[in-house]
This record gives sequence, structure tokens and C-alpha cells, in this order.
Amino acid sequence: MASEGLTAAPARPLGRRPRAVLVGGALSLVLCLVAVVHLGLGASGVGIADIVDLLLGHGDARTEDVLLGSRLPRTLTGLVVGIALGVSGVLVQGATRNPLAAPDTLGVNAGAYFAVVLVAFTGVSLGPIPAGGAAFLGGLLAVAVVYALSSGGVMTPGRVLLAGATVALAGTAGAEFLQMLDVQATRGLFFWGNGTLMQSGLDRPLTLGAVVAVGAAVAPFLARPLDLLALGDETAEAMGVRVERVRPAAFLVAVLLSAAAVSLAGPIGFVGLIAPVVVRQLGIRTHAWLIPTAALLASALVLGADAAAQLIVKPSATQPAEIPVGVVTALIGGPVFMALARRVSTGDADTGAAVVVSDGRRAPAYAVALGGGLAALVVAIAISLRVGDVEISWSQLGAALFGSAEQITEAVVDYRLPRILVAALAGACLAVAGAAVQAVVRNPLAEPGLVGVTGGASLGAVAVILVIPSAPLVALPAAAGIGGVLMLALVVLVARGGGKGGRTGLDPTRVVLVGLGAAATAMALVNIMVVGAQMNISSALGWLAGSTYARDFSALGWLALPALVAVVLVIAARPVNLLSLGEELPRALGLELGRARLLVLGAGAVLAAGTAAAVGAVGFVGLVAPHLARRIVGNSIARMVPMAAVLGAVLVVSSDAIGRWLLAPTEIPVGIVTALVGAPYLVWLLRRTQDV
Amino acid sequence: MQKMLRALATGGTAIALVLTVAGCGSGTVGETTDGKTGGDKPTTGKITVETAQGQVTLDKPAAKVVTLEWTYAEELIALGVTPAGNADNKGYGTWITAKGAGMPDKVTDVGDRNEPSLEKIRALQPDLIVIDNDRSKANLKQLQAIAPVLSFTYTTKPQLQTMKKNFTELAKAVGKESKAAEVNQQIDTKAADLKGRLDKAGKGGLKYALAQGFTANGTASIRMLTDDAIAPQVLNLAGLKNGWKGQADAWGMTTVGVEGLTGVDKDATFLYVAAEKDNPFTGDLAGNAVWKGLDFVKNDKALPLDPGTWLFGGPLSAQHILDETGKALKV
Repeated sequence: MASEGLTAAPARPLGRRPRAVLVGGALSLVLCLVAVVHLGLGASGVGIADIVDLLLGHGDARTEDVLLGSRLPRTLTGLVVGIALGVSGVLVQGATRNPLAAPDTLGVNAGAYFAVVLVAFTGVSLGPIPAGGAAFLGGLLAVAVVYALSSGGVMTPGRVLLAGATVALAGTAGAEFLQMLDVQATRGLFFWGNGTLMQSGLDRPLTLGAVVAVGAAVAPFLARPLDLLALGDETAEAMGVRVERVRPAAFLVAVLLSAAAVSLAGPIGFVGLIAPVVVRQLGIRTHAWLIPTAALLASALVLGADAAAQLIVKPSATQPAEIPVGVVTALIGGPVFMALARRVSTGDADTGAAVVVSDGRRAPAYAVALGGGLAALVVAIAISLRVGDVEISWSQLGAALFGSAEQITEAVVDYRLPRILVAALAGACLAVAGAAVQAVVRNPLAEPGLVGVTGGASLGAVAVILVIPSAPLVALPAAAGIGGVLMLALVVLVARGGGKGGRTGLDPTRVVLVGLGAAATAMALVNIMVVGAQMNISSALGWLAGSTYARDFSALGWLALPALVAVVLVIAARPVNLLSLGEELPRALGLELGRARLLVLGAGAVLAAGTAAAVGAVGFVGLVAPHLARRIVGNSIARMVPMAAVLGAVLVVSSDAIGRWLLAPTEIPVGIVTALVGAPYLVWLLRRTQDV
Repeated sequence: MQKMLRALATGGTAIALVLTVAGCGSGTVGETTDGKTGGDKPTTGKITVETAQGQVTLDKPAAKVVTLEWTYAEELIALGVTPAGNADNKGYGTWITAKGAGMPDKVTDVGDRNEPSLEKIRALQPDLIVIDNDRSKANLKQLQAIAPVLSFTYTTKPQLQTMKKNFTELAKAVGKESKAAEVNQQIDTKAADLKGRLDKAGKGGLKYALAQGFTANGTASIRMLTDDAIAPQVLNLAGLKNGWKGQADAWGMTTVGVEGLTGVDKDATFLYVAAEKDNPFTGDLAGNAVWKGLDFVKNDKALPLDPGTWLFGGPLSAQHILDETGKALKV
């Protein structure tokens, strides 16, 4: 599972208590200092000296107002959120025996966030408890899906995290979708969506603080069973732990805690992950000590990050906006996550060979399958050409294709045809990118977006918008493409360096985990730039979500290179095929594993970054299409890749049509539609895999 | 195939043109209506309009206009021209309720302001499209292929003068220049009138702060308008003085939480706009210690303006702000 340095190892009976007391004491001190600094920061300029004066009995009424109406609520929120995230992080990591698991990496935060945005979208104004209840249900649903997604095969840490990241993608896409449907009703949620401690009263932090207190009070009862669970399920069972009860209980409490944190302050990433890991690094192993010390550290982290955010953008009333605290934690947490992932031995290289597909025998002949796929693509394109907010009949459409239609029909087809072709080609490229990444990572849930490519592309594009606003239109996709490839290079470099005992080469799952951290950091930087530059948020969101809006034939040019790479990948099918056989066999067959993986992964990066350049961040296609293709035509790359390409094209073309038609004349970006289609597919998929 | 080639060629020409325009800033965007208008020579154009994308030349005043930003829709209606199409009519109706700015039902909704439906716009066969320059990155060349495009920047300083200038340029394009002068004049007249009434009531030179507020997940978020924004510039015409000195973003606003409100000058009257269903000033903040301790709250000088007062609009919105302020100050 995980390396010794990071796992929740069993309690060592001797000599540990003094150290725990020492660490706990030091952390308490740090927290106190950070809290004092945090209390002294704010827009009104009331400093800590004023507050001390007030406490000594000779302050003014204004200071008291500021303390009660603004500072205390904010600091208290930080404390409550920190405790909730720290404790839930310990519980999740203990229950999964996975040092990279946390409420956010398992999708709980995203599920809760989606639920809260949904509530905001309906326009109902709920009190903190019902809103927290919605968040709890959202988080619970996310965990349930992650559990179902990862229980189908070997339960390895990497697999669970991939499932979590996938669910998080879906939840965030859903929330973005709702935000776009009604920008005015959900406005302000962009900032909250990145976590903010700002409150306008003590009510909410106190109410949700009570919930957190209850959760934190229950947690110690789980300490002993979790200690035993660290020895492995069977050992724990033998020692009288009822694993099938302890694990769900730990998850339930963790979800309750993180849902309270999300409904109070929005999703604040990585704190629940970092705090337990760091405390464990400090030598504290037993859960009885882990729980309180992680809570202390997490609170210090949250308050410290918020204080830092306020110090970067000085908290005087003269600043136009503030940096959401979640952005700061992601900025810090992303690299930490990368570093951790680099050191964790995933144990996945052979055992986690999860790209297994069974149904080969029932598969129809390859030619029939591919022919069927192409026919479906033609139908999808034809329907897509008809669908939109200007009515076109089949006969008019036919006339348009032969150049004899009325002007308006012709004009409309002129808009639809290029974007449909762009959608088709983009879908094909994304599918092949997914196939390439999955071939290396050997996990059906791997997705180009998860390797950091899309995050890098977004970073490149937003940086260009910001630094050279007058840059010509082509600069945007170019920057996105470069950003994506550079990010993958960075991820590979980091992932490579972590080999233990002379094991070089790329551990497949590690690449994805490092990529996840890189993606989080990239998105944090993007968000800081968006906030800092006061960019038009709705248009930035639109681009980041992936869109085929207003694409013309010139966008096809951007897809030429990725398309070429896709062809090369099919030609080079044999070594790619070998990659799926694990570590030893390909080596025995004379394949230079490290270089082959790097090349295939590089191909995936060019494909994904090129597509991101043309249509933005369109997710799930790289996940769904290869998987479906594998079910239909089997594992052979030479057959699977063309099939996946066709299916990817069908998926994106249909999503584009749905996005244009559903709320016409308002458009839904295609990336959001693919995410909304992809998420239910995943659920269906795991139901299927269970009966195989 | 033929069609595809033609489209390819059109696209290529458009890109080249966009690049030229971006490069030297003096291209003639009217030229991109190639093919559709059949060999128009821009040099023979009778009307030349200054836009953010350079000069646009029209043969004759436009009659069928599509607006893709609320401000320019409002301006068009102020000129007595009903748009043929407009982006997001529902949002327009909610946020802009100035007298005479109502959007007639017959105006076709062409979708979101960021990604309006090109097909729908094309189907309307407009002879002019008005857009916001900041929102036009993705679709500019397609729009230019449909009809001449006027793209304006709203946030150029000083915003009031920019609005009046854009309004006048738009009026030129629809042949209503004298009407624009008249409406622009009304702003000054209204402001002078309000100033007179304020002076008479002994409130001349009153200090104010202007805010727009909403809640995000139960927490108040407040936009304070600085003198960079159009609304305070209009109020200042009436001799009022802005008591908010925060740093402005591109739109001229400072976004603050409740603690930021302590930065409002002590003697200022607090004027605010908030939606009826989402009013942080009477809801979320009512029990907050900072809010209750603010001078303007203690002295009962936090006054609501009509929720449909659009602080980022055109000449009718500007007049609406003056009317509403007069009403709120009871003069």
C-alpha cells in the first residue's frame, strides 16, 4: 500500500506519549499565534493592539463592533473549518489506509459544493442547518459513488483517488453548469466556490461549529479501531474490530464534518490532506493523538492561509477584492500533494492492472463495430446539423448540402458545419488522448485532464489574456497548447524522480497523482489571476468549461497536429499494446518500458493540449470513449483507438448539439454537457462491472 | 465541398482582417461584409462611426439593429429605436427598470450576452450589430460577416463621458444624432434640477456613498462605487460628493465585506441598490455589530434606491439614478 513513512502505522507503545504532548503543545502555541495575527487583520484597520486595549477595558465602541461583527466570526470560521477538515482528513486516511485520501481528493467537497450551488440556484434561502444538510447529502452521494467506482476491482490507493478525482470533476462541472444557467442568482459563488472565511455574523459559524463539535466528539471513539485497521483488515478483524461497521462510521463522520466546512466556507482544498500527513511525519501515530493534533494543525493552516491571502492583497478598504482562502491552500497544497505522491509507492504497477476488459467473446466483428460507429457518427452529424434555434427541415438541409438552399439555411449550415466538424475532430482526439494515457497508467479511470494537461493549458491561456490582452486571437490556443505540454513535462519530471531503490521509469499511477497536484496548483494560479485581474468571470468560466461556440474552419487547423499524433499511435500499436501487460513481461519482450511510456504519454499530452487549445477543457470524453471502445472491440490498440476516436466524435458532436438545443437560444458549453453525460455513464459502468 | 472551400476562404479573409485591425488599429471593419452586400466600397459610405475596433462605415442609417449588451439596448430604446434582437431580455427586464427603458415584448431574444446565438442573429437579417468590446473575442468575425458591428468599450475613463460618446456614435449609426444630444442634455438638466432642489432643502453638496449589495451563501458582498464609475459621476453633477475613496476595479467598484464599510466617510448618506428577495442590508447584516455601529446606520441614513436601478447602464439609467436619489433624499 503506502510507504512506511506515511501510513497510519500501529501504535508503538513506548516513548511516544511525551513526543505527542510536545507536538500538541507546540501546535497549540502556533495556532494561538496565528489566530492572534488573524484577528488583527481586516479592512477597517483595527489592529491587534486596539483589540488588546479593548480586552484590557479601555477600547472604543468601534473596535468592539469590528471584533464582534467581523473579526471573531471570521477567525471562528477558520477554527471550525480547520477542525472539521483536520479531523475528517484523519478519519478518511485511517479508514482507507491511504495518505493521499482526504475529503477533497475523494470528491466529498465537490459533491457538497454542488449541492450548495443547487440550493442557491433554486433561489430558496435556507438557514445554515438545512443548507448544511444538503451539503451532507451531496458529500455522501459523492463518497458512495467513489466507493462504488473503486470497489469493482482491486482496491488500491491510486484507484480510489482516481475515482475521487473523477467524481470531483463531475461535481464541479455540475456546479459550473448551474452557475452558467443563472449568472445573477449564483453570482458571488465563484469566490465562495474557492473558499472564503468571510462571514457577516456569529450565527453561522456558531451553528455549524456545534455540528463540527459533535462530529469531533464522536471521532475519538473511532481512534482505537482505526489504529487496528492500520494493521490490515484481516488482522483488525482478528483483534475484534468490526471492519464493516468501523469504516462506514468513519466515513459518515468525515462527510458530516467536511459538509459542515463546505457549507460554512466553501470547498477549501488540501488542508484535510496535509494536516494528518504532517502530524504523522512529526512522529504521532496513534489516532487518539492524531485526531486532536491534526485538528490543531489544520486550523492553523486555514487561518494562516487566510492571513496570508489578506497580507498579499492588503486588507484595507481600498482594495477591490480579496483572494479566496481556498486558492491559497490549493497553491500550497498542490505541490505538497505532488511531493507526497512522488514518495508514495503506489503498489499499482502490477496489481492495479485495471484496464481489464472481459467481453471480448461477445464482441461483434471489428469491421461491423467500426462501421456501426461511423454510421452513428453520420447520424449524429446530420441531426446536429438540423438542431438549433433556427428551424431547418430535412429537405432544406439536403438542398443546402447541394448548394441550392435559401440564404438563411445556407448561412445557418455555415455556422453549424464547421463547429460540428471541430467537435467531431476534438472528440476523436480526446478519445485517443484518453486511450494513450490509460495505456500507460493502466487504469480505466485515467483521464487527460487528470494528468494536469488541461490545467496547464488553462494556465497558459489565462496568462496570455492577462499579460497581453490585445494579443491576436491565435495566441490563446497557442499558449494553451504550450502550457499543456509544459505541464505534462513537469509532471513527468516530478513523477520520475521518486523511484526507490534504483527503480527508475514511470510508475503509472504516480504520474496521475502528481498530475492531480499539478492541476490543482495550476487552477489555483488561474483563479488568483482571474481575481487579481478582475477579469470578466463569466467569459473566463465559459472558456475554461470548454466550448465549441463560434468555432470556424480555422479551428480545425489547431487539431491537425493532434490528429497526426493519433494516427501515429495506431501505427505504433504493438509497443503500446505491450504497455498494458505490466512491468516484467514487456521488458522480457525487449521493450524499453520507460521510454515507451514517456512517448505514449507525450502523445497523449499533445492530443489533449491541442484539443484544449481548440475547444477548451472538455472532460470525460477521454475516459468514456476508450472504455466503451474496449468493451466493444477489445484491448488491441490498433482496433481500440480508431473505435474510441469514432465514439469520442459521436459523444462530442451529440453533446454540442444538446448544448445548443436544450436552452436555445442560450448555449450550454460542450464541456459541461460531456461532464453531465459522462458522470451517469460512470455509475452505470460500475454497476455493469460488478456483475462481470 | 465547394461550400466548404468558400467558408474556408471567408474564414481566412476574416482572420486576416482581424489581424490587420488588431495590428494597426485603423482597419475598416465594414469591409468584412464581403459577398453579402455585394462589393460595397467603404469610401462611398455616408456615415462613419468611431468604435473600439476602429471606424465603421455605413451606407445609410441602420434600421434593424441587434444589441448584445444591455447598456446599448437601453441606449437604442432611448433613441426611440426598438432593437430587432437583444441578448438576455429576461435579465434586462429584471435589472433595468428606468422610465422609458422597457424592452418591448416583440424583441427577439438571441441568448446569453457572452455566447449569443449566431444563427438567430443571422435569421433576423440585421443591418447593424452592437456589442461590448470585452465580450466579443470569440464571435467578432462571425458577427462582422452578418452585418457591420459596432463594438464599444464601457469602462474607459471617464465613464460618463465615454457613455455619452458611445451613445452619440450609436445614434449616428441609426440616424438619430439630434435625439442623442437631446437625451444627453436631459442628464445635465435632471442633475441641475436635483441640485436646485437639494440646495433649496439645505442638502446641497451632501456627502453620499453608493452601493450595490447581494448575498453569496449567506454572507453579504457589497460593491462600493468609486468616482471612476458612471453612477457617482452622474450624482456628482448634482453637486453631491462621494464619500467612498476605495480603490477601483475596471468597472469602478470596490468589492467589500461588512468590515470594509467602516471606510465610508462618517458624514455620508448610504444609498444602496439590492434585489427585493436578496437584500443583505435589511436581512443578513441587520443584526451585525459592525453594521449597527456604522454612523449612517445609527443616524438612519441608509436609504434604498429602486431595486431596478442599473448602475452600469446608459442615459436612461443615469436619469433613473438621479430620480431615485432625489426620492430617497426626499427632495
